[in-house]
Amino acid sequence: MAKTSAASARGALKNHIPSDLVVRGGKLRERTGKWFLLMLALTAIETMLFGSLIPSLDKEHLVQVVLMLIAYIAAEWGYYAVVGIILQRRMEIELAGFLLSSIGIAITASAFPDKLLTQLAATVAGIAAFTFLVWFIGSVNRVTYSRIIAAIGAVGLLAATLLVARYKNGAKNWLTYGSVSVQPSEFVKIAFIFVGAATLDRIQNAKSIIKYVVFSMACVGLLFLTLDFGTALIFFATFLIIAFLRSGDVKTIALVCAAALLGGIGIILYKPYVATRFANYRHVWEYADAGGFQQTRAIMYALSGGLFGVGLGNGKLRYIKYATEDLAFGVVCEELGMLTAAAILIAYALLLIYAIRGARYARSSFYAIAACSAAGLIIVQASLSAFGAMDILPFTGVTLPFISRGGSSMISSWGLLAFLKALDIRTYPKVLRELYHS
Amino acid sequence: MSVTDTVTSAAWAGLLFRIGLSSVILLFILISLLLLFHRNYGKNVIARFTNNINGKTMDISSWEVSIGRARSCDIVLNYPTVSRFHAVVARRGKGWMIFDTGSKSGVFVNGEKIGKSAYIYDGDEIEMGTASLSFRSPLFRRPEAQQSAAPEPPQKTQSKKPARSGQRQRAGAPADTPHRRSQNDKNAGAQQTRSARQNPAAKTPAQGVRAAAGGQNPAIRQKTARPRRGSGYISALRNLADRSLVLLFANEYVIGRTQECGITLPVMTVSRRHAKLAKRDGRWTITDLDSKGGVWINNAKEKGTIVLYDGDVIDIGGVRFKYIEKYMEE
Amino acid sequence: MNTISSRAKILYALAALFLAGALLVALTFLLHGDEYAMNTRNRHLYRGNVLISGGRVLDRNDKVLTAVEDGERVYYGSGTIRRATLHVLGESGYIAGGVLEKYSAELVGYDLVKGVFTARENGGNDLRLTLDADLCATAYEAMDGRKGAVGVYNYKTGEIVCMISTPSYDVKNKPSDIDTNPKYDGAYLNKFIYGQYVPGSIFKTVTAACAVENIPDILARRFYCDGQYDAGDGVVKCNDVHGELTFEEAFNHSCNAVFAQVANELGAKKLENTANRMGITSSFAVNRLNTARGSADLSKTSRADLGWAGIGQYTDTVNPCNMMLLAGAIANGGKTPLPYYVDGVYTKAGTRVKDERSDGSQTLLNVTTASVLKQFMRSTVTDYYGERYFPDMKMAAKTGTAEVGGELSPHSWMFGFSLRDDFPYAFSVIVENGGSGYYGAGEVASEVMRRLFAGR
Repeated sequence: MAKTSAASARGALKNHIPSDLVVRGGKLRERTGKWFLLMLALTAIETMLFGSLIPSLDKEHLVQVVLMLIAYIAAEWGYYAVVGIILQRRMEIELAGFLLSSIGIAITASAFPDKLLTQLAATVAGIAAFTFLVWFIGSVNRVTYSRIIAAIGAVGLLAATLLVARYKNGAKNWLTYGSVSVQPSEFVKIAFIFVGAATLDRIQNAKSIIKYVVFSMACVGLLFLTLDFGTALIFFATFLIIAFLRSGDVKTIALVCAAALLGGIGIILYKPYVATRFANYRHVWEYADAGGFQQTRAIMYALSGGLFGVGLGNGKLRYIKYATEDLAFGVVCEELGMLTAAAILIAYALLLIYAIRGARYARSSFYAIAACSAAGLIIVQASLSAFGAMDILPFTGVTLPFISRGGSSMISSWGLLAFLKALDIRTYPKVLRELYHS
Repeated sequence: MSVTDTVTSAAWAGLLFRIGLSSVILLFILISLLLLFHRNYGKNVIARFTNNINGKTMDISSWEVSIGRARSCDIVLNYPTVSRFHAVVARRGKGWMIFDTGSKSGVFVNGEKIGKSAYIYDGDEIEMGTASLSFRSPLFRRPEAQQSAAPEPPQKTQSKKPARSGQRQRAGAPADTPHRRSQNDKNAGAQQTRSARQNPAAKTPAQGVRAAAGGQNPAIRQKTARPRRGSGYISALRNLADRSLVLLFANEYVIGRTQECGITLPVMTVSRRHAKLAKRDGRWTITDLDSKGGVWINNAKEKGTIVLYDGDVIDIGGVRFKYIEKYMEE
Repeated sequence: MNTISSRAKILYALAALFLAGALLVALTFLLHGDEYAMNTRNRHLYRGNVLISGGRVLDRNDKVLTAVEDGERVYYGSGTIRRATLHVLGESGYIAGGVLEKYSAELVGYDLVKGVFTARENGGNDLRLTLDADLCATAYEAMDGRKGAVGVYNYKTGEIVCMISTPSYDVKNKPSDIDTNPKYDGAYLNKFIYGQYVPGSIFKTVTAACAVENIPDILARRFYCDGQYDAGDGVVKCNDVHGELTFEEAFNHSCNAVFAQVANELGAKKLENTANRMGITSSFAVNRLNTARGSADLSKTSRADLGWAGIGQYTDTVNPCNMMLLAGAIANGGKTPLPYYVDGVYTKAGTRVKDERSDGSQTLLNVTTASVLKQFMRSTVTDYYGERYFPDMKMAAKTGTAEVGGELSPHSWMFGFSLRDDFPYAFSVIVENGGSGYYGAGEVASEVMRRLFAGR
């Protein structure tokens, strides 16, 4: 217990302080030293990562890569300075995002050094989108007002893609202007979760679930028509999660699933070539040079990497078309090792578990639903991407969040991360934040 | 001797490097994300419902609360006249709103039936079927309400340093004049009350405790009259161990080990009825109820009734709280 | 909200599914890692279809049969040895089951942890065979362009010292007409392991074994051969008129009439059982290969059919490796060790990292039957063939001339073993369409065994 003398009294006070707080300037403050250490560790890892790339680059690209690395590290430290030091906020989620993105950038640098700038720019844009979104959804009122716009925007964008886009690799999911190509469905993911989680005024109202079902099926249907089955499946799974969290209405959801199943079967019967896309499932080695081409190469080279990889730049999988987009899991296994690939999967899983546990303490149901569905979306997408490449699931050509090369994918991954970040109390309005800071 | 003679040492270095890199990436992911789980999820109470039928109180710490007969609701009212999903109380716009989510008997606020939704404020009475709830949320007071019982501006007579054990405010002890406000001086109201406090006409806190609202300087009262909706002083206790926050709504709290206490600390070092928090003349005070361990304020054991000021650290049986008093503007 | 957070718990199921998926990936890697990684399309290890990484394959005398030098696969200098060892080594895309295919992971040094690290860094392991390349070359030359198979093994240890299959070709100078020229029919098949041939008279060993076990006085009985056996519903022609014979003499002279008669005395079921027990219909594991099964389906035989079956001219087929093992079993009291031709995987410096020698044995006959057959086969050499082919070797053997119908020459078989304790080897030889068992297969066996005997 406290002693009577002044000096020892101060010592006694210190002993009772919880471990994640520290006395600074006479006030109890968050322990910020750990973020600094983690940022240092992050920088070291990224330097090692890019450093291992250097031997396999030629002079011209070498300079580019080094510059990009410096730019990226500078961006990270800039973010830390603002958010970590000045605003004194926690940065677990951002740190994980930084590391995952750096792996993606490193792979792009090794496979396509010319596209490095795009990837980096997309990452920075993603971080900016993340920051903006975290602020934007901080106010539940703002969310309520912008709900309708988001819904219209989502359906509109998907419809526009269907009308305007050209076929690319079997699906019509890309919009190209000059040398820039965008995958609008990636951005629609953010809007989709946004709309779904914003139940707000209509909690526990049976009518609202019907409206949401209609909206979701419109999105899924449009995606299905563009033949991007992977993304359609992702949206459908996310819809299931959101619908259940919103309403707990298992009957309606089961009905929708049954309808979807019937619809799917109907389409396969009517247009059999849809089914051929999945004919190779679990038979990839028989069709190793035909339909099973990508999966067999992915498996083969993933295994070649062993636990620790053959090293960035030494892989052979990346020469295969779209390997860095659709077979990113295999590329990571091959060049960086299965251990790193496992770390990436663990990261996704931890984000989901965090969202589930955090739902209990979320201030508003919006944050809980948004975080859980964003994490669920990431898991479903990662499953389709990684397990599809390994022939555990049918191959559907979707990207691995943060890792796959692709600007739209990177930006949308950071956008999804924003929903997870918003679960953190520090992002809540000033009124309550002041109280918690005192 | 193994493969080493044909595999170069440079190659081995490369492998070791990759082992290191993979391990470090895995470690970093684990640390940064497992830190996420190392959060202290203390409940931060921001509103309170009191069931007028059985007197039970239910603390609210989230922005949406579902009320109904169904067991999955946040507030379960097991009365046949209450629908399964009767209503939802949610933080919206500038305050709290109640939504009728398809109830049979409707929702009545202060006796008036609401349509789909309505605003509710601190002190409102809500009826659903035969159930009746009282709503408290000090942050959100009804706009017309006069702050007749607005607490006096805090008059700190000592600094926050823990060393000042001997100068604790006690009922009956003389006070010093210098005042100390909390660090967050963003409030104009606070500025005014501070300048008002310089007025030596302000009573000593000793008398201030006993003196009711009448002891206030009229000038002060004017300035604190008609506060905007949502502004005013709020008091809270922050549990320093788990960072949870308890807003102080009622006028009295008993702190002790047993369940009947308003603030329950199930720790053996806390007596059954250890201390009492009470509001006297608009100021929160704490009184030791002859506890074994005593009540320690800023590392000094205190007996009797002590006035609390923003920033005081109270130690009860080893559990430390910080008393927070802030002037809040919505 | 409580409701949301309790509903959110269902997402743990999603997390569990995710974990399950990851475990399935891990399981696939563990179970099939070697197989998938060593696929010939893996550019880390192969070019075209050729394995261009990994260690050497050595014979028992440290001859380097094949290796990788400067990113190219190279073979032993002698064309004969290359042809003789072709089926053992295999050729990717053409000849399956070679060690380059079956042991690719070990050669490359692949494991799940290091991946292809050792392969990329010019590492890898050597594979040491128990075969004697020179002996194989001798066997190849003895075949003299004829098709067939030769196998010799140590019936005490199980080590195979010679295994060849013809026709073969030089992997470095592959003939352009290999697919069209009938000379190369079957060139892609390892006939010793995968061959299935009409046995002819060597099947009498089976019939004899069955008789010894089921007819109590068979050794004392006297038979009479008048040039044929009349089964009632058909006639089995004998190769000669032998007159009065003991059973042993009938075996020595390979008398069809006696064996056809005995076959009918035994009945289809008993003969089938013995054949099965002796491994005729079994598949034997030889390192990572599995021999083809012979057949002995006597269920629908008439008496004449059974008679023919008893002398190995029905639908029965046998596998050359099986015959070799049978010879070894007879020599060894009915038990043969499980055979192997790969000794193990060694580091380049010579330390064994994996022992590929087969353990255990298989009983094909009981002790008494084996000793009777041993005597029969020895007396066949001493009293009938003469020791000319196998001087000093105390050889016991049996030949077979298997009629294959039409205008083709019969297959020529010989299988046997040495009774010498210091030369415990057994062999089997088949020369397709080789004519007489003795002169066809026998001569090949003679050359091979004499070379082996001289070098011991």
